Amino acid sequence: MSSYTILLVEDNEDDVFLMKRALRGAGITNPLQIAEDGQAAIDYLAGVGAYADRTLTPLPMIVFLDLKLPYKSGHEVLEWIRQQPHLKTLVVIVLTSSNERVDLERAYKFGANSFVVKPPTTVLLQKLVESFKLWWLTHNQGTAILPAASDS
Amino acid sequence: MSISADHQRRPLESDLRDASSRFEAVLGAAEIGTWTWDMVRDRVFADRNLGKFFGQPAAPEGVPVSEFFKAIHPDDLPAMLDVLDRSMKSSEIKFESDYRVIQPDGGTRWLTARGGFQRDDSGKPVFMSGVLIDITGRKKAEAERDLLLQSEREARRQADALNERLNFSLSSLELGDWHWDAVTDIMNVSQRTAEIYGMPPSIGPTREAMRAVLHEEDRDRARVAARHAVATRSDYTIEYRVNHYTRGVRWVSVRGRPVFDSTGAVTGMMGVVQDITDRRAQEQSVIELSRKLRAQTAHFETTLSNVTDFVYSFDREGRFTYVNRALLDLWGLTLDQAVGKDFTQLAYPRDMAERLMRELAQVVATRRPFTGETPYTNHEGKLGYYEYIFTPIFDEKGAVSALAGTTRDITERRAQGQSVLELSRKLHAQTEHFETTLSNLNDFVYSFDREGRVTYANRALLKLWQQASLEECLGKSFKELGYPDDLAARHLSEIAQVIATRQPYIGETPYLTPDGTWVFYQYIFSPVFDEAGEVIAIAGTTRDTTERKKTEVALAAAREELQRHAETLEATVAERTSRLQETIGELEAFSYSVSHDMRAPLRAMQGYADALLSDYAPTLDEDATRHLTRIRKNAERLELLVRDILTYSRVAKENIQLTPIPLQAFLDNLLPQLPTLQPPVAHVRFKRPLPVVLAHEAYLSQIFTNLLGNAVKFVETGVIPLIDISTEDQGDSVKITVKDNGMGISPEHFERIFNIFGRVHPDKKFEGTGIGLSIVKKAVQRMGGVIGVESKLGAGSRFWFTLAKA
Repeated sequence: MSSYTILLVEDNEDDVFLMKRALRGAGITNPLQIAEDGQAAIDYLAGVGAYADRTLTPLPMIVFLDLKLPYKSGHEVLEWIRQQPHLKTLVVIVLTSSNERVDLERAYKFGANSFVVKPPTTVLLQKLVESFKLWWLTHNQGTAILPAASDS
Repeated sequence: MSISADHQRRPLESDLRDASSRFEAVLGAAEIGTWTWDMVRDRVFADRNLGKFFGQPAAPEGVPVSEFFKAIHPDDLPAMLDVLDRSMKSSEIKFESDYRVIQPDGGTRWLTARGGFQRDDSGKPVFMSGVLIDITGRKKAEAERDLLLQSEREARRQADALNERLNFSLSSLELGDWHWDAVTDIMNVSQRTAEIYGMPPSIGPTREAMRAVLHEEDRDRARVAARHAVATRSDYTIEYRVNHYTRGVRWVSVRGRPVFDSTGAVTGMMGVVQDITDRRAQEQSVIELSRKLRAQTAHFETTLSNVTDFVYSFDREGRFTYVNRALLDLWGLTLDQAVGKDFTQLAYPRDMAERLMRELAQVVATRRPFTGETPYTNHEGKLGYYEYIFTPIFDEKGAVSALAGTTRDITERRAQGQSVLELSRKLHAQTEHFETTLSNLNDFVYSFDREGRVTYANRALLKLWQQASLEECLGKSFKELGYPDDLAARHLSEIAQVIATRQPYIGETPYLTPDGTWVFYQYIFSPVFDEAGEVIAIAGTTRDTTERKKTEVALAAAREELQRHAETLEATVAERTSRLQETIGELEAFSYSVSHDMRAPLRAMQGYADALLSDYAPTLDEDATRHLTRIRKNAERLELLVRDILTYSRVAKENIQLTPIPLQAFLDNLLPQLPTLQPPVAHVRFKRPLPVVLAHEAYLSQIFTNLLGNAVKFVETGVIPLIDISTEDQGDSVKITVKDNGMGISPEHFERIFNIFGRVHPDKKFEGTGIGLSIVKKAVQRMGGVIGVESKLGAGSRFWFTLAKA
């Protein structure tokens, strides 16, 4: 389990910092990759440009996806993901500041596996990440995400 | 007729026009003409009938009387002028004259003229008016009758003369004689006989020869007569024609006698002959004459029988000698029953019979015709009126030998004359009645002729026109009544339209009254039809609609104003709506931005402070630790504020659906989720069962969480919160009360606590954003309820809100 890569799509470096800290605090050792905008996330998952080398940037098993992103929004990224045959089974957890109903509904419609509002405090974030570890990394049975034919 | 009387009559004239023309037609049918002679100006005004009698065209301006005199037969003119002269001089003498008028076609017409005078104060005649009755038909009948009587006399005279001549001729009669020997068949004729028979001298006088000159149609008859005489041994007489060789066919009278011998055998014949051609012709002419006479009498009788007028004659004593069929029918008698009787014997009422007898005697005495008029009830009991003329019949010596009369039934004419009078009287009464009624109206009532001239106007209209009386307005046009040109022209075209369309016209016009105020009139012009369906007049009513118009104008103005307002309002609403939508849009963008962009830095502030506090705890001194803690606390507080503001704005704008929620189950589920409300920290109680309400579950949670949170928060130190939840049925709704044992609120703050940031307790002591109750109030309102609070400082609070019952 710990070998699977986790991709965090987050443009806010503060949130990236706090997330890394919370993951570490929860004892999650999986490699963490960061995409700082929507286009970068797509490129990473498509394995193009800087992300062509899968040994350096392997396909993730779980994606934390913020919604408010530069270039491409989280919704657009999610929509793109679900249009890719080899990414249909990728676990995508939307992690956002928004608790707007429209955002939530769109996310699930586009195929999000979970929708989580960013907790306002580090304590709550820590609790959330620990729950995540227990749920998604321990109990949940996922499928390996294999590269698309074009990738190899 | 005086001028004022004439004026009074004028309003009637249009109404009576129909009746008048009918009257004139009746007079025309009765062949009666009327005339008026203005003797001062010497102008005669004749009606159409009279113009017809004289063959003169209509002359509304009148013509001098001499024009009429010119047409009178020269034989009759002196007598007429004589009567005229005498009647002018003395009112005792009636003007009455029969005379002939020579027609333009050369024929003559018999007229009876009767008239009367109007005299000025000095007795001088100034006006003469009267009637002319065409009596040509009667005169013709009289002439025919005279002719008949004359020809009868002539026939008698001729017959007498004939007898005389016959007698004379018989006395100077020349007989021829003849003898026929049957044995020798020798005919001995005298010279005279030979002349009579006109046998040519070359022919011997044999019986055969004589027979040969006999008219062939008479031969058989002659032979039969002769044989018969022989057989019966008697004389015979026969008249037959002979073909006289120089004189043509002659009539001969033969008298013959058989001659016998001693044995009684016939030996011959002897006799005399006589030329009777002349006598026979005379006889024939008498027969012809009397036949003609009979035919003429029959013809005349038939003619008289078919005339509806009565024709009759009397002897000098007043006994009827002839009565035509019409009069016999009136009486219900036959001619035989009537002839020889006088009026008394014919069962006329005594006074009438005496009067008629007197009149007959007067005719005999004065040798002049008498004209009279009388009512008479016939044998069937029907009352009629009759006009009659008794005329003297003169013998050859000029003495009145008999009287003749004609009578005409004038019942109908009289009835029509009376009906005209009656009509006019009724019309007057009706007009007065109408006038009284119409005068009391404020509306104008009026009528015009087809040219738009006034024929009637009621008092209200006269007042508007400033006219003293109707007479002054009659016949006036709109312009003459002072209407402005454009209005006058408009009315005239409207009247023309009514005539053309035969439909009423409704119009409205402003009008400047004489006292200088502007008023509005609404009027209706209606067509008035005569019997033939022609529009003969226009009747109208007009109503003052100024007040209504004012109201209408005011109403229209108000409506316009309202419309403008509505438009302005609409524009304002539209503008505000769009501004509001803009605002809402901005608000949404704002709250979205708040959610994302404002909360991220807060999280960062809080996160870094927290990271410092936990990662660098050993190296931080007390002050640094406290400052970092303050940073984290403030960030957390700001996060709470942002959360509540977002909640409030979401509650304010979200579209929600209400569903039935069982309150009891709802609370049973909610309360365990709220740690601060669990015993022994706090106690929450409610009486089961609780009703089902119509609500939005999330909002209901929001409300209870807030109210219960407040109840446990605002308590004096050491007091254990005790909260009672109760419900009260209010019919359609349920009142839910949350009662606590907290510190209470002074009434002056009741309003404020429901406002955003409306806090009444110090921040330091009680943490909170001051938005909670605003969210609760908004949530209650969004679910259609109301919220309120009852409290006293230090005595706990009772927050209540209502929800619809499910």
